[in-house]
Amino acid sequence: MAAVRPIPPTVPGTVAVHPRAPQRTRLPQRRFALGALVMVAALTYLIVTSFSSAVAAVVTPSQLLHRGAASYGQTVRLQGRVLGGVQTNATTLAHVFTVSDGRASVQVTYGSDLPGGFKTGASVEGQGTYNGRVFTAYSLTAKCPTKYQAGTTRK
Amino acid sequence: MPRMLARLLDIVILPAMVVSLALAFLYAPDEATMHSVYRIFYFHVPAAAASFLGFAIVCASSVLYLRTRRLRYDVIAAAAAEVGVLFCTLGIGMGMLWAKPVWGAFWIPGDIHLMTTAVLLLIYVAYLMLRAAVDDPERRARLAAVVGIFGFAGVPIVYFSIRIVQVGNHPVLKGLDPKMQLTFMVCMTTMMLFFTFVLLRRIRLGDASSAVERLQLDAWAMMERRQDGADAPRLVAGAEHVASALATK
Repeated sequence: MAAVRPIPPTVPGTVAVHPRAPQRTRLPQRRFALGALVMVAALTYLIVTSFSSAVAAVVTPSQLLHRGAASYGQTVRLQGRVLGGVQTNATTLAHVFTVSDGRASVQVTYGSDLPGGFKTGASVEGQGTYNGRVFTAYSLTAKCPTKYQAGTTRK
Repeated sequence: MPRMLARLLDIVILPAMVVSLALAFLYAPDEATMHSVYRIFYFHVPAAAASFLGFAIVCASSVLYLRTRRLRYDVIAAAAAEVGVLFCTLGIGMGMLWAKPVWGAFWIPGDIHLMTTAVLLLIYVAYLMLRAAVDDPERRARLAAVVGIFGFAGVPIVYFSIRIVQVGNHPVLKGLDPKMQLTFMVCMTTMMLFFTFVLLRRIRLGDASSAVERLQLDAWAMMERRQDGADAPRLVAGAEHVASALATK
């Protein structure tokens, strides 16, 4: 390793001005602008997505049924607990189950994979439309349990 | 003291990680609903907690800097912010990997906990961007300290968001199986040790970087005073050499 001659400390009476500063500011400013752009894009995404999800009203099965024909065909977020088991339509492979809030229940059909947290009694939220007979969910999410209990290993 | 702690961590960290992994994947039982996928919980929650600790250190160091004007506190704040952002990103990433199989989606826009955490991360990314954009060390430290103090307000908002406003899919955990509890405590301790391990190294790097900056400024100041720039490149090269020696020490 090459020997380094000792470097004196700050010279008294001098002002430490970096002559390379004007050249160095360009790159950080570009990076800053790029970073600011990314942050603005991320914030816009967060605001727009939360706003669009908030636009779809959250309803329980009893509220949905109480609305009657006014809610037919409108996109809503249906929240409730899974009641009973799940049946799979052999033709369409859609899952059919019932969601309840304790006072009323609605039959739900969902054409994609069920989330891992889905089980009888689990709290779920589906976004979709109701036609007066069945609620067709386009997306379905399940809440995590609040108590973690030991279970059997799933093979 | 920090050097002793760093040496102790050098010895402890690897065995602690092995024990944590063994507990998380071999000792802890499967969860009744989520089965094996829930095991990411042992790393996701501690990573988020470590990021909160990092942001708390940023706040405390920023307050100390504004009171004392010692740049050493600014170095600590910068290091804690970087490591905090790293752990926060890891926490969010692991949470997304967990959410997809359990909730059915990587990200749920209406979930208040996700939203507030994302905004908290962006605040500290902005903090780092601000630091990168200002050249003058004193000015940079002063501006960053203000952002570091106000940015910390986001941490209690994230923590209490799901406890006060129960909107979204994030649950407030109310109970753990005893074996899960033990595993969680060990994993939390290990994550905090790992956070400290990374933070101490980042502070050492910050010290070296700060020393280089001071030496470079000294060199340029000498050059200006002498009106003779012949020695300046050698001094700058010397400063960089000193810094690399500090960094590898």
